[in-house]
Amino acid sequence: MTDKSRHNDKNNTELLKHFSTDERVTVREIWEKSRQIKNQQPKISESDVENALSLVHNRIKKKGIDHKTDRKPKDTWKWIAAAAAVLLIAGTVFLYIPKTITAPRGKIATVILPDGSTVELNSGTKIEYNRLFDITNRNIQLNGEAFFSVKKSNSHFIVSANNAKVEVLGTKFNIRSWGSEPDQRTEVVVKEGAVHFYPVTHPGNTVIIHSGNLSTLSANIDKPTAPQPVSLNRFTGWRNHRLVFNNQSLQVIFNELERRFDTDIRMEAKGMTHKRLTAYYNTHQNVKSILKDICRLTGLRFSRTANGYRVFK
Amino acid sequence: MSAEQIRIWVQKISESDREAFDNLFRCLYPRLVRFAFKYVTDKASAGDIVQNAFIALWQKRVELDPQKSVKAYLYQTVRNRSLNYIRDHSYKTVRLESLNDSNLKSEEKVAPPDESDQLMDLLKEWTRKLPHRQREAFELSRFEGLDHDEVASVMGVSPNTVNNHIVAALNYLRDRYDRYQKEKNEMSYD
Repeated sequence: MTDKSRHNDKNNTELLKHFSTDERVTVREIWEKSRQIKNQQPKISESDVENALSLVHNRIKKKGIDHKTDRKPKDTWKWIAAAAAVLLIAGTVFLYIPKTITAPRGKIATVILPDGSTVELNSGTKIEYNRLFDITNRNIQLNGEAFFSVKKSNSHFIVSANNAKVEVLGTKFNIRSWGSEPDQRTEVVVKEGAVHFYPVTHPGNTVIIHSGNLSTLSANIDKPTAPQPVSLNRFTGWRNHRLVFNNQSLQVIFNELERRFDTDIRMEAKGMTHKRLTAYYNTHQNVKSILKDICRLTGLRFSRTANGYRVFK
Repeated sequence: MSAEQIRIWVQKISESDREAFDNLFRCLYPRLVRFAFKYVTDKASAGDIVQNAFIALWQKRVELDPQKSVKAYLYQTVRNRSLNYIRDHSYKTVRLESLNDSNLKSEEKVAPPDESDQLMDLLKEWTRKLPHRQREAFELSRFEGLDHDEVASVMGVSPNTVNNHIVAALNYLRDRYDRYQKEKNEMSYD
């Protein structure tokens, strides 16, 4: 927003140059008044907008300019690539070296995988897959929080995180699984379709999560929780740069803030690290105002340090 | 909606995110239809034009650059399609050269005696009398809230030309305003 207002100020000063000093008073008044003239005609209701949006979707579908790209040419390339992989013995080793992508702290990254699926990575999240992805497998390792939009295909798309696995053919889901968290839990929320969710050690104990539901798996537990309906926005708010903490401990919250704002938060009130909070921030905040809120709620205090902040009693 | 939010949506749309496309649509559709309505004469056609613009946007989503103004792109597309519509339907009454203003007057609320609202109504009336390029530049800048670079790309001219148009418009409006003030002062000396 500051870019735009600076731009406008530049525009305005440029305009005023063309007028004499006495003229400028009037011009300024006209300039200000005219900005307030809002054109309200014709009235457009919310249902007008929604109807128009459905029409647009229908016509996009009809025109076939959606994602249904012709698989045929791509299949040919897949075969050529697979054949080449078999021939190059030295190359085979290379093909197994995993590709790693990490979202930088303070940023959210979107990655397009070789099969056309997309993954949005929250700050500090890392994914890893080998170069035969989409050729012989669709396996991905995850440490962090990501939203997957998986393209439908016959090959199983499998995400491994901590001790859990999520398996789909084509769907949209959010998965949160940090190795650094005390119980290394994995949370999966499904937006579209259905996913299979099970622990690595007991693949038979799978649950099927349908859209709008959440299931959690913690370390040393051999079965994920029964799926419960949840408000999706709470779990995917991070995609729109919202900050959402669902009854999280201070330790987890500070870790997330460190990643999101690329800063360092030293928690010195050792007894309070497990205190839980729930908070939602819909609009862009700075880390200072969030720390202020947290301290107000918990009776703690914070101050600045060379690399970031410290929180203490 | 902030420019930052729009930039995020455009980035996602370029990656085929339907939800971001829907959000952008909901945000800009109403004002774009009102903008098209200025050129064409009915709400349905205005709606069609804007919907087509969004479909075209989706078609070329892979080429979208979040650093470029998508607002300017959409306004430009809507404006061009509206002008084409006028050209193709020239037998219908056309709004562009501010013709039958009595149509517009009946849509507006009765002018309250309030001084500042009176000025606003007068301003509205005066802008309608501007030569149409000046009016376009002025309205895109003041009513639609576009900056000079955006107005330039919508109208297909240089930012300098936009500047000149707006200065000329302001000169005209200032002149009308001064005359209005003089008349008012003269009247009060009764």
